[in-house]
This record gives sequence, structure tokens and C-alpha cells, in this order.
Amino acid sequence: MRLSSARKSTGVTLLEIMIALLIMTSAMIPVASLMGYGGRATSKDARRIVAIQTLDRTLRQLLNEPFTEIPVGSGIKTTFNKVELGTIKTQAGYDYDVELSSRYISPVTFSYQSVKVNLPSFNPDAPLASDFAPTETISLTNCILELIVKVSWKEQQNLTVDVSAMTYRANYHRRNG
Amino acid sequence: MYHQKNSRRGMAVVIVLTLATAILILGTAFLKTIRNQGGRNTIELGAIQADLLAEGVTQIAMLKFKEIPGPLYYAYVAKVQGQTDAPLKEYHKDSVLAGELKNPFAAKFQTTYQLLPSKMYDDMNIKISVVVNVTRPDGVDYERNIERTVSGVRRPAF
Repeated sequence: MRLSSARKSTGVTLLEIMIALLIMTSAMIPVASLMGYGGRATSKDARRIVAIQTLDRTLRQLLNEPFTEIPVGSGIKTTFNKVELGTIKTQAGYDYDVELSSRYISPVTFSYQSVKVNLPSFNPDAPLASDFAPTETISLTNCILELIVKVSWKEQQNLTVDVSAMTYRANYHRRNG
Repeated sequence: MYHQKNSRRGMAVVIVLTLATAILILGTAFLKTIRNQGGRNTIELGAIQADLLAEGVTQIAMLKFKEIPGPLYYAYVAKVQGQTDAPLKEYHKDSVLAGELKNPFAAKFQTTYQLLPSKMYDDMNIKISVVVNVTRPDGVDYERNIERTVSGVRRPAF
């Protein structure tokens, strides 16, 4: 009888267990929602990273294409040579819209000071300030293309987001202009 | 004896409270990690934008050098010999080599030509450095420096 009474008063009571469960549940609810948020954020980041990689790859490809084969215009979505434009589906299953806008920076003007090499006093190893002619310019037409690529995709709730970058492509093999 | 039994009461609540606090701390750390991840992606985009712009400006700089190499050579020699640096400054002044962008992102860029050991009318070696500063969407500046060495050799036409 004495032993039974001692056992009765040790251990945890039902009330304690109920309170503990309540506290644990209220702590776990925000943690569980955080896990969901983490998963969504990771997917969003993954989509953005793939978009940035696509942007980089497209522009680097454009830098390697022959100058004369790069189309000029805005909102170009037609694939040419090795440059993939338009809707691209990645291995991860995301859809991206890749758009090229290109235009000539024309005329482009370069300034310089030429040297009067025919002057009797001219020393090619130490030209004087007086050996230089006043500033001159050279204008080149249709020799530089400004290339802007925009990669856009849809996030949750059909929200369209995009990343873009730009570069220039020069024509080193010009014949005139 | 009675006091010892009484002190054990409520231990479950204490243990659970400790665990719950630990879980919340871990959750906060997790949230911080996720937020920083987003920041890193912005950095990566800024780096790529700066890198590609610098590549493009380098192409323009190479085009200028190909079109008018002589003035650069003499301007550089005149500066090194301490005669004048005005012609070299003039060579660097074009807005396509030193300027700024506002669209599709904010950036500033600056080009520098450096003459490496060369002999005019024989061969020319130059180093083109392009420094690009891109302002990231969160307002922080990001700098990228690209250097290209170009060797030009004069070949007979026939």
C-alpha cells in the first residue's frame, strides 16, 4: 500500500504532458511554415540562377558570332547560328523567354592627335608637344553593335520577372565607312 | 523525501521549453541563410553584367587601336619621355571608351591603353584595361577589371 502510493506521485502527470505538447506544437507550427518558405525560396533562387546563366551564355555566344550574321532590331526571338533565342525550356523544367535587341552605335567617333612625322626636328624616340597636330576625329559607321539580352520567366501568381545585360560587338574586318 | 518528489514536477515543461527555444533559434538561422542566398544571386548578376560590358568596351578599344595605332604609339612615347601627356589623354577621351550607362543597368566604365615593348612600323604590343563599375539593384557598387593584351605585327601586303 505504501509502495503504490509512492509510485503514484512520481513521473509526469497528464496535465504536464498536455502543456508540453501545446508548447511544442506552438513552436513547431512556425518552423514548419518556415520549411515551406525555404523550399519556395530555394526554387525561386534556382530559377533566377538558371536565368542568369542563360543570359551569360547567350551574350558570350553573341560575342563569338561573325559580326555580319548578328541580326539588327529589337525584340528578336528567332534562333540563329548557335545563339538560342525565343522560348527555352531548361532541363530543370523551367521556361524562359530570351530576347535580343541590337542596334548600331553609328557613327562612332574616335579622337586622336596625329604626329607630324615629316618635320625636320621630329624624333620618333621622343616626340615633342609641338610635333602633334590638333585633335582630329575618325568616324566609323555600322562598325559597333550594342547588344542587349533580356531573359524573362514567370514566377508564382504569373508574375513576370527578368534579368538583362548588355555588351558591344565590334567589326574588325570592315571594308569601308 | 516529499520535497525531492515535488522538485521533479514540471520537468517535462522545462525540457520542452528548452527544445522549443533551440528549434526557434535554428529556424531563425535558416531564415537568415535563405535571405542571404538572395543577396548572393544579385551579386552574381552584377558581376556578369560588369564582365560582359567590360568585354564589349574592350572590343571597341581594340577597334580603335586597329584603326589608328600610330597616334597611340607616339602619344605613349611622348608621355614616357616626359614631353607631353595631352595626346595620350586625348586618345582615351572617347565617350565609347570612358562613359556611363543608365539602361538596362547603371554603370560607369573607363579604358586605359598601355604600350608594352614595341617598335613602330614593325610590331606593337598593347595592354587594354577596362574598369567597369556596376551599381547593383540594392545600390551597392560592383567593380570589374578586364585586361587584354593585343599584339599587332605589320605584315607585307605582297
